[in-house]
Amino acid sequence: MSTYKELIGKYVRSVSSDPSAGYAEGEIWYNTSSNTFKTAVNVFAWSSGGAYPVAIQSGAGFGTQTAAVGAGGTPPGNVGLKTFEYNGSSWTAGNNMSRSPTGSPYLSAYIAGSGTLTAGWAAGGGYPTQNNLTENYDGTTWTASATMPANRRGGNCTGPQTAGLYFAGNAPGVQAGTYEYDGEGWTAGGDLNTARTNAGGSGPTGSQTAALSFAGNIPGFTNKTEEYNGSSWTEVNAFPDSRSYVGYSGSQTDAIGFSGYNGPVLTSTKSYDGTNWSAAPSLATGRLLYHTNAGTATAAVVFGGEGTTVLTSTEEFSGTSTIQTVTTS
Amino acid sequence: MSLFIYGTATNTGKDFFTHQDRLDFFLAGYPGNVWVVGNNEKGAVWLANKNGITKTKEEAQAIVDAEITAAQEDWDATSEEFKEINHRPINIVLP
Repeated sequence: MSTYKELIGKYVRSVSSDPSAGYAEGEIWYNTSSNTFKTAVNVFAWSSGGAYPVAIQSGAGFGTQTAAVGAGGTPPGNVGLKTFEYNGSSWTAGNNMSRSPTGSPYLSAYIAGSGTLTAGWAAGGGYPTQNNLTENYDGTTWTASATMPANRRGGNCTGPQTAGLYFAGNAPGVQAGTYEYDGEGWTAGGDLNTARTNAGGSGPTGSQTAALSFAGNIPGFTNKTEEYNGSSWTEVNAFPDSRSYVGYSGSQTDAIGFSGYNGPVLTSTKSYDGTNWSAAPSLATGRLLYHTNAGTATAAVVFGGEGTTVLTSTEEFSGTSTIQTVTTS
Repeated sequence: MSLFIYGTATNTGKDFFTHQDRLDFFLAGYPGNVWVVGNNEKGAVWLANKNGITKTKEEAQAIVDAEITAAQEDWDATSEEFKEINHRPINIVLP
């Protein structure tokens, strides 16, 4: 049997008091006061955040947990073009999206977005008629950009404003197409192997050459997961269950998928390391999500969505370093 | 002994339930401001600190049922267009 020294390259140190959890994350030591082996691990959980100012069912979310943007959506009975910015604690109103009426009353329903608070972008959406509208956000103002090559709603955006992707969605009918966005124009990319809508994927930290797509409607529920390499999609290990309207954050190699719907409304979270999916802590309140999420796999934020009614509540996913005693069980 | 404590409390937003709360006890939110928390000291203290009102499981379920029934009736009375973009609220059974 290997020793700790052989595996790690150093001996287990003996200390009379524990080091700080943040400093010692990933280490193991022997506490001579308690006569126990201890380690520091990053423990994740969902906590409550500041409520979104309006109840929204769908809409675009992008940015980080402490600098996020929510835009568009379907406040009941309204055309939702509102924008709100989140600082990790509360939401502040920004300027409305720039898209003008096209004859479809829900102009920004099922829109998606990506990028950062100061360099964001959003595309597609529309109900009952899908649109191809694209807009860039600079932290203050939305500006119309080149339209997508096709009308889409319910698809995913990932990556930065100058190197993003839009994939999947409804046109109507589920779609497999991928489009690459450079901040000013669009080009066609490779098709997904499984056309889908209302799916999870990589978020703002995904890229044009490393994107992720998982679960969704095909139109029934699917658990299929695919990775994009800049030109083609490859099917990889499936999401642990089939669901749609799933929330998501992260990149192709470090992502989470959470909540959603497959008959009941779900609260569970699954974590992806680029190869395998595993269970992660659940949200407090389940909801159907339509891209109102932002952040990374270790610092995510989700807001709004569809529960029994349209929601305003926000939850944040984060980790804290915690010292734990090592046991044999 | 029941595994859970049932109660109502208004979600006040940031830090209504914290990261540490989620590590300390089970917590789940339902329609009607109903919260189900682990039946332990930390869960009970959390509900008390949130000015929560403790309910029996039956009382909590009745609040949830009433909220869902009202939401279903609202949904039934909406336009076909609204119905196409919003799912009819489904019944929930508390744990």
